[in-house]
Amino acid sequence: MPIAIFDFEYRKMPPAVPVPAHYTAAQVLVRVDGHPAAWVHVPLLDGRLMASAVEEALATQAPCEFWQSVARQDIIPCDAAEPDVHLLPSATVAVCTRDRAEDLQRCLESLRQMPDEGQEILVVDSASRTGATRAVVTSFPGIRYLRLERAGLNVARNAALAAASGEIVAFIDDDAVADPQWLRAHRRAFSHPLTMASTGLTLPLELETPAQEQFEAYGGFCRGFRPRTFRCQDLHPLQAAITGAGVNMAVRRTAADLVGPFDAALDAGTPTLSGGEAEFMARLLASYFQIEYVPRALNWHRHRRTEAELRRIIYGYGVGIYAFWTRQVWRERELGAAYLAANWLLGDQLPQLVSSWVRRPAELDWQLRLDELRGCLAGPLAYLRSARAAEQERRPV
Amino acid sequence: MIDHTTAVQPVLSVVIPTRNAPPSLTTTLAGLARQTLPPDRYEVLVVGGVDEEAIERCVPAGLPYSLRILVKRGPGASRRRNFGAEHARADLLVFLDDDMGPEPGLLEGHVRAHAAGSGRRVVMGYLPPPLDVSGAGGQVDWLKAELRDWWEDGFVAMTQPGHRFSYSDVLSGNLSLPTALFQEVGGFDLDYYPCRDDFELGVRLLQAGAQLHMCQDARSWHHDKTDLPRLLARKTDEGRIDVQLARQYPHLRPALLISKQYRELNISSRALRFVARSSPATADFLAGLLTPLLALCERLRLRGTWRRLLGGLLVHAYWRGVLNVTTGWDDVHDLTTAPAPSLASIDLAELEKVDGMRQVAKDLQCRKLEGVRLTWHDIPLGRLPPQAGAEPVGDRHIAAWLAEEGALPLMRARNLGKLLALSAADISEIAHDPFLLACADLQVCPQVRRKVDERQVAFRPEVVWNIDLECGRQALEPLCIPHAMLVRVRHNNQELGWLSLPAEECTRTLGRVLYALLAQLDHAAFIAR
Repeated sequence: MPIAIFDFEYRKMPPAVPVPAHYTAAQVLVRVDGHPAAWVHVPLLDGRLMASAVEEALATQAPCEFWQSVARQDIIPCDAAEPDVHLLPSATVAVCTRDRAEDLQRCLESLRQMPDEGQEILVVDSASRTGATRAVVTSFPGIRYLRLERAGLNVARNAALAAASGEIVAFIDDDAVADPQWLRAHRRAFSHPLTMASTGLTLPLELETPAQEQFEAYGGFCRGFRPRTFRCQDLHPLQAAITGAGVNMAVRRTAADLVGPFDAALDAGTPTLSGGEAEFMARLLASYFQIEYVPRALNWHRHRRTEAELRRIIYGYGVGIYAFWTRQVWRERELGAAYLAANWLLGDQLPQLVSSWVRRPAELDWQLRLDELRGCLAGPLAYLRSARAAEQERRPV
Repeated sequence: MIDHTTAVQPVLSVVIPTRNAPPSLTTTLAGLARQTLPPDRYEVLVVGGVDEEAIERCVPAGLPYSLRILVKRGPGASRRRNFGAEHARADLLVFLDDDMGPEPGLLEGHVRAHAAGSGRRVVMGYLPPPLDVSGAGGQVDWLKAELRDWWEDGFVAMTQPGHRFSYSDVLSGNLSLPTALFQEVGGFDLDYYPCRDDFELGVRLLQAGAQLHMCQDARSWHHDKTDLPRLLARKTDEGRIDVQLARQYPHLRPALLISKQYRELNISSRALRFVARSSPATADFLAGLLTPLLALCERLRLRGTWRRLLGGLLVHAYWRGVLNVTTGWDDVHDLTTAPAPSLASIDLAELEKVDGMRQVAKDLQCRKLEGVRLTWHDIPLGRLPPQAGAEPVGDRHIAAWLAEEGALPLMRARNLGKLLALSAADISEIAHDPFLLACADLQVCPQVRRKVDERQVAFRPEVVWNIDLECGRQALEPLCIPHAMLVRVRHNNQELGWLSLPAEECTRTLGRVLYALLAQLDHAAFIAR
């Protein structure tokens, strides 16, 4: 049952918006002063989205921060003085892509919509098998193209960090679309010298298929509307996946010099499938650096459309997280990983697997939970294999 | 004595106390040579504790500014700071430690911060956090990192718009103030040795009406060399000096660690404190055992255990210091009792009037309140709690509070004010206002725990039992409750208290319940939110 997606400013919604007939409900992003503030599920009335229904949905679903920003807007009409854009650190936007020309086209179009504040846009082509990627990039004048012959998302991220000219490098996936304020929000997050990375809010670009809805129900990428600062005093480095996802993050270029580059043995393009950015964030936290979560840095991600793709993704997350923990035990001597893994398995994964099996099909597909668990079990070995392969790759022939 | 005294009157006198002229003094002096402020506008006074020759060996060649070397023997850097201040020629004093790496804008930052102030400003410079906190083996040194973050947290707090500056924000490592103000309060008190001399100066500066200010442009790198033994020794000194502060300034007591820990310690820390009192030798032996454990935890990456162990060691060291200079628990108890702070209500309805904020500011300036309750007519909104040893509440703090957590309560109160002015018929309409409902935070749950649109009210069975409470959306219609009732009010599962509602009016709207809630709730409980 497809769900329509809308983006409105609070109190500036049209009273009724017609919605194509195949949608059964709407998911609405409500902004206050142009900044994302709430994400609510709204039923449709006679094929229309009513402003009153959104209001009602806000009354029950909006987080406290939403009302706080509404109240602030009423009491203090203009936002506190924004720092001058030119004083913010310079930025490079890096898109790491492989054989997804159509998605890349949409992504680059959205990046072109951002206000020009002197940012550089860099596309890192991770050994695409066709020339379509290059063709898309050349159709956008002024966008840099970097071709790598070696596949691997983390290899591409390292190449982006090395080639970028900006002080910070903002990463966006090729299947995501950036909000015009996305980059500025990331740049603003780096005001503190100890902040080495920031992550942002990612919402679904479309909810057309059951697989996409299921991905959202599984947790999606949304980390809420409250800005947060993550430090190792409050977050164990091994739980770094909480800080955000690689689809929407920015890294200070010098961070790689301080804690080492992204691990080439992790993430897409290797047997470990994911976990690359979480592992990097873990090293940042363990070195007592800060990671900012900024909901104003908004982008939209097109989730996988088919169930087969979704299952592969969820399996990949399982592999990635355990591969990341394996690396932490092996290389960083973080013995806590074993404890965390056991805790997660016994306290969370197994009970959920059982309850979703009992309540199927009402509960989220238990097959997904099983896939995740299978991935977890495959994770440690996948990392060892991947690390060996990466080692051989590095050795001169 | 090297003296490059020029005829021009300097605007700044930089006083650097040094005991035995460490090599870092050379860095400090060299950094002062690369300032954006022209060198004829400042002079530097290095006050040594041993002899002039040792200092002269540290002086780099070709300094562009006027440098004077003085000697004042005796314990304590503050003795040398006072001595340097007596010989300063400029109207503005900058105190700098001898292990600093001044950035080029340091002195200009201080001058500008004073120019923007009232003439009674005390300006704290910024010590940026070093990125590298690795220890001997190249690994991150946890203690170094935690200490860096502790310093940095202090500076970050000072840059917040609503920060209430306190005596403990005065840090003598990179500090500037008018020479006249420094002399007026009598300089540093030499009885405070070897630490907290700057805090004690802060107490007197605040009493003299000085305005504390933090300037991020006045930056200097600090080469902190604190290790665990030094930290523990310092903690013991702090315990001892805190007793001295508590005796001399009773109003400060609630802010001191001694008061906080006296009441708030957990069982294991209480046990540690007890052992520290009854058998210091045993306590030292135990602490000695814990120290190597700390290193082991770090090697095994046991963060939580490491942090708890360190906390325990610091508590022990602090209380060793406290108990050394007190006569018993009764004495400690006396040191933790403080005079009641001054607290008054400020009605923010004033802000609706023309020039309202200025009136409020003037009012606050006269009354010098330690804490305020903020209301909207008679509806409590929140409060700026009394903070021992901090500057009095000013309009800056109220404005910052309104911009953050105060916005929502004020908004609610305004809406409720409108609600009260309405007739019963209008009220039912207002009860549909999603904003009002979402702001309500009223959780309504009958004894039978029926969920009412995710808001739950609990009724005491003996008071009302047979209430007809409809489920779902209808619950947002005027509630028909023909009884007096007690409502348990909870917020985020935290109980705020019971609220009694009289029976005179049979029909109540949620809005009325809300109003009663705000008007009747015990103030302290309301604030607990």
